[in-house]
Amino acid sequence: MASSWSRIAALTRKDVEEVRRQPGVLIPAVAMVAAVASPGFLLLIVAPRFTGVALADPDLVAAAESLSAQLPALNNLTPEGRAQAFLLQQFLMFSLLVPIFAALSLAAQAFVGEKQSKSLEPLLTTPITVPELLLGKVLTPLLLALLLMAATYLLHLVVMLTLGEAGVWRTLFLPRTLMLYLLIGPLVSVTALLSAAIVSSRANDARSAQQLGGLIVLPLTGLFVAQLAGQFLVNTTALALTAAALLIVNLGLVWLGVRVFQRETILLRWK
Amino acid sequence: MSADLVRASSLSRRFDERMAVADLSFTLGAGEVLALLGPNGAGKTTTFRILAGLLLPTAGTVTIAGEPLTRDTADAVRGRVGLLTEAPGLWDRLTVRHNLSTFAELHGVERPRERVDEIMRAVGLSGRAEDRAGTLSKGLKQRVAIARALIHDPSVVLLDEPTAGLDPESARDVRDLVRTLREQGRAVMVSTHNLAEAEELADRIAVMNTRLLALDTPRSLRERRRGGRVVVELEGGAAQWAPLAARGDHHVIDVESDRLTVAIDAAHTVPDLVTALAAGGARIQRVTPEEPSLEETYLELVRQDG
Repeated sequence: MASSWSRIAALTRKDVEEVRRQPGVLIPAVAMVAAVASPGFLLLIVAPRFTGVALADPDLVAAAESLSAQLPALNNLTPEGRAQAFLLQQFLMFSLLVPIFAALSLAAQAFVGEKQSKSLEPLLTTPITVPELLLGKVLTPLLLALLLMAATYLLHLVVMLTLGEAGVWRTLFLPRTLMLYLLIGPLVSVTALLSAAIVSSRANDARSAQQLGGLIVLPLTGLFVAQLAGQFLVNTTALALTAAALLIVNLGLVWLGVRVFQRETILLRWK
Repeated sequence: MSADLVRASSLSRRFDERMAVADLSFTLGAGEVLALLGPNGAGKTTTFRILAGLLLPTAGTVTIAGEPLTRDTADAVRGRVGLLTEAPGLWDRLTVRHNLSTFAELHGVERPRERVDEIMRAVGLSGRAEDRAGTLSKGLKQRVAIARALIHDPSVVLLDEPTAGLDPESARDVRDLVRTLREQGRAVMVSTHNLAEAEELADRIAVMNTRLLALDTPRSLRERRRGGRVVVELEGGAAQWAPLAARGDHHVIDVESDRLTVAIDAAHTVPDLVTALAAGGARIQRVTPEEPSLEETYLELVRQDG
């Protein structure tokens, strides 16, 4: 009999192949990368060049001091560079929308797609267990969401290296940035995936599953707006606490997901 | 036929207040085909889902190839049963080969590639391996779904309405495949609304309507219907003799040109009918017993139950 991992891998390969044969499902998520990166680039790079107005007002430069404390190398930046680095860090929070959006759209499609093609019952005739089914179905969207987040990071790095103020790109290696991309990003992707999976069990089309799951975006947007308005940065301690909270939420969602994904429930209630 | 591969005893399944299957008992041996007949909502699909280890019974026991079905053994039971679901449920964007190889891997089949080639040859799909499932005709999709149900070489095969909606040629191919499965020594259970198909394929037929109404060979089931019919051919038209034929325990069912179709309670009353007609002056050309049909038996059983 196949091992648990070989069954999960078989299901994941199947989902990857389905995405490969229908690359259109990635378009909204890829467009999100551009949508998330554009406002920051417009404000930090394009606007100062075309208007001739510098970013560095005294308040912003003062606020940017906190960054210098975290990475002494930034002390060598010009005032304009410090202002750009500070705003860049604020906008990086927005990057989290990429894995959330990608996870939501791809996971909803993955689950609702199985319902629509009536392929869940044949799947359930195999020895696959319900946790294996749940994991097998979320792995492909998770991998794609993380790939797109990595692409967002690389895009920021390339743009800041080529068009940013000298040395600003180094802020992309601050512990805060790395925590955002390597810790909060994956955790929030899992939150989005599990929410989409649970909502999909009750929804009959991918769009409604995406809309309901999209509630996750609200706290993130609130935090981003608060940062801009208050000219502060969420520090590493706050990010660590957020990661812990997300971990607890995710464990709760796994618990709920395993209950929603009962074989009989899927068979009899998922219409 | 050899040992029983399926043994169901007092099997029941309730969904909230609704009893879907009640007190169902039967056995199914290796190399045997059992057809399951019943109206829509009779519990056929629920029975299949229980036997396939997808649902657990609320009462009664099931043993598949010697393994009792419980919550703990359901995974192992699923490995011994191949279920063709009512809808093919294929992944339309994937090729036939990818559809089958995914299931081979989920079942832990050794050398999945070779097994996929083998099963595609067996169901006549070899030339379509790289076709996308979504581009196939309904008949070919059904073949892929059957191949998928057989990919792990199960000893028990459950086919839920395998010929529903297929053209006559595709339906015949599926029936040929069922015969092959029987020759291979598998225990095969087929649910269908096509009574002629059940009669043609099955060694035994089970009629159910939540509970089991009858379980017998097709011939015994046909003969189970009370009494029989004879067709009497008469010279000079039949209508004038209908009142005479209807005397006693006989009922005239049909009058057509020079033919009277008469229902009789038992074969020994046929001479009484012939004597009465001859005594009345009828010139009888031929008296032919009419073979009872499975359809009539089925309808009678279901009507009596309803």
